[in-house]
Amino acid sequence: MALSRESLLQTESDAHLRLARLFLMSAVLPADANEAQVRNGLSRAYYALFHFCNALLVYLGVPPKRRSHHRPLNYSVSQHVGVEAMQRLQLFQRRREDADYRTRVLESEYNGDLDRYRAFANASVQEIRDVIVNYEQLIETAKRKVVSSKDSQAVSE
Amino acid sequence: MDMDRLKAQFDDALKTAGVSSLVNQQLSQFLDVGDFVFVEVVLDDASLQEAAEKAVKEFVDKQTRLGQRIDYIVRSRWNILSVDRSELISVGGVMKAAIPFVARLESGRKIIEVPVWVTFAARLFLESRPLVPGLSEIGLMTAAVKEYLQEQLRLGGTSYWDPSKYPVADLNEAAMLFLARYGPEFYQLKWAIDDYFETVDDENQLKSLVSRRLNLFDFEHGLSEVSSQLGGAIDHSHSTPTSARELFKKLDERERDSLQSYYRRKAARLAVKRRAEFPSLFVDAD
Repeated sequence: MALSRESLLQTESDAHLRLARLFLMSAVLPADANEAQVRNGLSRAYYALFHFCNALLVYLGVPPKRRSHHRPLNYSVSQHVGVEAMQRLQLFQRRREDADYRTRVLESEYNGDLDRYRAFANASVQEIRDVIVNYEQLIETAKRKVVSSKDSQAVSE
Repeated sequence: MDMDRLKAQFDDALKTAGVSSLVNQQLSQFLDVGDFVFVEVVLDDASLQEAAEKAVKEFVDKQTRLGQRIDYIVRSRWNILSVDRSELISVGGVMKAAIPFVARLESGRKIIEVPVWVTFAARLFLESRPLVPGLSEIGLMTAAVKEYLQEQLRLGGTSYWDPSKYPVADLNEAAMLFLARYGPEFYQLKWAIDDYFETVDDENQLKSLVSRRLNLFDFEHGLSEVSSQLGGAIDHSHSTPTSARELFKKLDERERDSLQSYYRRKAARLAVKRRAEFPSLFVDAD
């Protein structure tokens, strides 16, 4: 039996949410996190947000090509959540790039002080948690709209 | 068509309609999404929204005839003037099992009143986890309504909320849980910032700030100024902060970032209104 559009959307959105939560959990750092763990934490935290955005955009009918890569995702977030949300996403994206690619970020930005870099990463993860609270609300609203449009279609049929 | 040319034509259309000076450039967008263009026009004065909508629609219709698809939003930025307990007990003749409030919102020259309902579950939540200690029950609910509306008004893109067209959802326990993500010190400072910008938005106050050579875009200075607004309805018997700086130190990093960005937004909003008369108060950092 074919699945309804709503079920398909929910399945896809839930899959993104699951991954987002897994990444967010793995971004939490132990008190003695080493440099690699700090870098991984920043990277995973961004990808948690990436998947939260996708979980929302699925319900808003945004096709995968407009949300599965960084640049189109920025545009879609800007279109559906606004300029400020897009700027926040870009900020976390830059932090992720620094963590993944900048070999001397610890020395140049934190004078080699791992404690400071760790504190920055913890704060960044917390900021992402705050942003995610907003997304959770938006996802719920978008989901309700999909369900209610299905109900109203059923009534008119 | 070339995007730069299309954007220039769009800007001309807004100019001809007499609305371009009230378009908020930071929040508005003109996006090439691939097979279509997405436009969001954010106005600082809702009294011109109709004129802007008309101009944008005409432009879009013209482009559609030429084969260019444009999706668009025209909305306004709203500011909360006040939130008060209301006497309303029913909606459309139906009694509501919730506590009624009314919010007065302002966007440029337009002012509207919006009914807001707080559910009993939300009230219980606030009793057990007040946003700040020492506020009366009504004071707490009023503050929660204000915070919640501010969050809703911040949403942009297709998720925006137009309070002049759509009712606000009832404030339930989930909404309260959302607000409780920040601690009491954060809210004390945030509300002091609100009071501060409300107080200084006055000819004489601003002149006095000019004579003191203040730059309202400087958060560090602003924080010292905000101290004068700490107190009011909040009972500080639980903790006795002597300055905004002291409270600020108690915040965690994400609360600090959030508060700084809130301060900057308030200053930017005042700048839209007052920069022409008082340019020295709004000097961008290098």
